[in-house]
Amino acid sequence: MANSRFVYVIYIRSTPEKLWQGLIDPAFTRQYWAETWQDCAWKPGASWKLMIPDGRIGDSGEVVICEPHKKLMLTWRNDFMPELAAEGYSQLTYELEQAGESVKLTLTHEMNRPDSKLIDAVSQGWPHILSSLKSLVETGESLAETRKWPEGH
Amino acid sequence: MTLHTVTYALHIRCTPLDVWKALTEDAFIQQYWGGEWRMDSTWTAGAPLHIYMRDGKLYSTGTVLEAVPGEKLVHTWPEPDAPADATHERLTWTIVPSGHGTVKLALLHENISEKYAGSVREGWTSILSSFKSMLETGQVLSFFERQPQTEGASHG
Repeated sequence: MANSRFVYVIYIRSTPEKLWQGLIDPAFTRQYWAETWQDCAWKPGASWKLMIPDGRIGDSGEVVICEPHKKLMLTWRNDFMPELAAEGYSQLTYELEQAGESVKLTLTHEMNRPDSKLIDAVSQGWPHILSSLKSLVETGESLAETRKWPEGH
Repeated sequence: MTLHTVTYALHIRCTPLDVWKALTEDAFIQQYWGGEWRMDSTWTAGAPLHIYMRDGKLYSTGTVLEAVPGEKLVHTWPEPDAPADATHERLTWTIVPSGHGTVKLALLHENISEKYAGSVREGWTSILSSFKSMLETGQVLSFFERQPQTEGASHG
């Protein structure tokens, strides 16, 4: 099948409980994910929105799977860049597994279309965002350049 | 025979030269590889790169193809007893500053044989996660720390 798929794995010195909170809690995401936060009830079927600090919706979808501390799957459509929005819904999955005193975090972002521009765009962004999450969890400070929403976007 | 390519990238709060030292200095290499591999080279273009296994035996000798401290390192990682005309595994490390005291480290690992592709892909994610922890916190991830040597314990 002609899918577009991006997979990224990173190990973070943490517990699944703490890392789960890092993935969903606005107090954490604002620090490593460009001031964004997620508006969601975190249960299957709930709507999900990634909120840009100026009040716009960046991306949206709904929760497909929510197994706290283990697995989270969302549908995900870009809402603020017309070219990407036109592609419709992608699917994002986070999986967390204990690995010694670390957690193996596996992110899979995929879409049922070849050469997706959305998947191409996020494949540049995720390593930076998840590197910053790792820094935040392990050192208490996210990477500086990931802390602010980029001006003009 | 199909040869595979593995890529990985991550962002680290340190200087480009910190990354360079961690890639080339034995004291760092031993830490994030957990002693699995050791490397010895002058890390200049054309220089040999001796790759040693955990037990200290020589695994193979590769070649440094490009070496620009703080920017780019390209070297081979041959399989032992590879024929002279074999296509060796080749690693390209690119270090790019991203402004705010952070660098992006990108790895392109090419010419990987089918039998190693899965373990190489999986392996780099943990090795380089540990590499970042070492540079930012001074400690590699715990599952790479060596087992403590218990004095007087019998092994074997």
